[in-house]
Amino acid sequence: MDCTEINRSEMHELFLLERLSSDELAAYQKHVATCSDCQKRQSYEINILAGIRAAGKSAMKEEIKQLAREEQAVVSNRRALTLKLAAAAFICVLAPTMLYIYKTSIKPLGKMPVLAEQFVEDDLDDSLDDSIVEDMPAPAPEPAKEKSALGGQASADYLELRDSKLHRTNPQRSLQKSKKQEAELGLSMVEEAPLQLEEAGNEILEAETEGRADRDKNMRKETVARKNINGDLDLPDDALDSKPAVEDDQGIQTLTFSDELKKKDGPAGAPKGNQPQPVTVPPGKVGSLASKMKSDTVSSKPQEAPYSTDSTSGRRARRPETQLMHWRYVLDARVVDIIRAVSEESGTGFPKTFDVQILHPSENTWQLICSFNETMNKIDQSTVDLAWLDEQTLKLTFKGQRISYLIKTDLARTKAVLEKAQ
Amino acid sequence: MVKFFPDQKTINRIRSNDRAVLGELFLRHRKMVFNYVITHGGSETDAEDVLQEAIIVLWQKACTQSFELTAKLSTYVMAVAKNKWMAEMRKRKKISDEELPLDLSDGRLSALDNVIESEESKRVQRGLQSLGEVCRELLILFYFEERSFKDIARIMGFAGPDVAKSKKYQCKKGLELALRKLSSKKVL
Repeated sequence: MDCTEINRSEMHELFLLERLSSDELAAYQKHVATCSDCQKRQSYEINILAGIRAAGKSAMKEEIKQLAREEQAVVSNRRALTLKLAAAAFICVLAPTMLYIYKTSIKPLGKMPVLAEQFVEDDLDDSLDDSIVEDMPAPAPEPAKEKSALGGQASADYLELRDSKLHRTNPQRSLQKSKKQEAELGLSMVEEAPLQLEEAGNEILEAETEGRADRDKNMRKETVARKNINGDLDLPDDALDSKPAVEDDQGIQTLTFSDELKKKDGPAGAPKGNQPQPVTVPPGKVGSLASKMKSDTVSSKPQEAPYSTDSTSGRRARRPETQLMHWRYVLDARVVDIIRAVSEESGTGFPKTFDVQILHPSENTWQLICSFNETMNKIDQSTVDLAWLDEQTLKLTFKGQRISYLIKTDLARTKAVLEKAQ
Repeated sequence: MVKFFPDQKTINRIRSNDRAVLGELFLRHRKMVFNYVITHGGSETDAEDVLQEAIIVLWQKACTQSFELTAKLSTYVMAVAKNKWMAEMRKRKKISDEELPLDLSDGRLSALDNVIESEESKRVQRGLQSLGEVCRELLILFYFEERSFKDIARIMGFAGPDVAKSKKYQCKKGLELALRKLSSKKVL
């Protein structure tokens, strides 16, 4: 191996790049060790190689910096895009869900009448139970002169109610009988209602006729089963009878109960005699149908049907078919208001489920009036057995909150007072 | 977040001259290397330089066909970075202790030799800048990245390895000519 061969084969370069074979490396090192020209050429090649590598390293470092910045920008954009997508998903999915939960958990007072109407409807369905009607004790025949005017009217109410139950498949007929009853009673409620109310009620009843038959069947089954389970709910049907609302001079709607109920309640808390005991309802009370009628009558819209459309909920209200329904309507709407007031006062949310119970004064036992679910759209009604602690006081216990409340009516029949009993 | 990519795929991308891997490797190992260098007496600039050199070493090694990854890529990069930083620390300590000795008795390169080498290196870099873009890239691929002529032909779009070899020879001669011109200007 000589200098010419080494230069022609670029062996200095291959030596520096460690690409010589072992034989070539041995021959190259042997020659370079004795050749000064090759040593100078090798040193020259080393400088060139070092310079190129230094330039390459510097260029690559700059390239790494630049690429890292670009990659960082891409990552930032990707993260920003992810955040935007998450925000969009929140707006599109979570926000409506939260709004829905908020709306379903907090109900304005304006929706209470609708809930109470549902209760009235269920009550009506429940009242059409044939088995209950058949088991109803017939009113004992009494001399007309021994019956007070109101007691005789209670019997007439009972007969009309039973007749309406037996002819449940013909709601138009029931409505006509209800009108007749109201006319006989000579009470002001129906008379004050505009004619449009009856027409609206008839339209609704006709629309409900078809679906009511199946629903009545199911409701009867549920009611019978519930009564079998709760054996302590053997309540008289005539306890449901009531007088329609009347107005006093101060515009307060006053509701009365039948004598049958008071007789059954006994002397512990029942009113004495045959005088009906009133429950007064403040005017404008949410859910009070009588109050609604009063307010609509007093307002500047006397010709507008008060039951046609609820302005707050936008849903159509149903016209009560009997005075019984009317009374239940008022009671349960008040219960809802009480629960709402208590929950707002205590700072707790509206209870998911709760029962309304009344202490029977003679038997000293609590009896279930009705059960409510969370949304109040479905009211599981059991039965009604109104009993009063005394002539003025109605006690309610909410199982969920374990608090009892007293509803007191003053003797002047001017207003209802809610007090916390315990 | 840097997108996930397997280690072997990264090596293949380096061999196919995917330059985007450089930035991804930097971001991927930045936190780890920076923590090590800073906790061992270095600055962020030192850490950045160490990581860049570690990536360059990985790049150079991955370009050779004999390279085989036997551990995780992050482990490899971290090991190289540690060695680089420890060498840098020894170098700094040595310079501060010896205070530029001119004695060559120990056979090692003196500080004067380093200065001379640095001057020669800068002169070669200036010569490279005077070359065209193709020659500069070709010489760097061959001498710095130590790629084969086959790879160079594929990367630079030459007809084949022989064309790449011939082109490299011409570019090197052009560099030598440029260096001679630079030397003559310096003498003058």
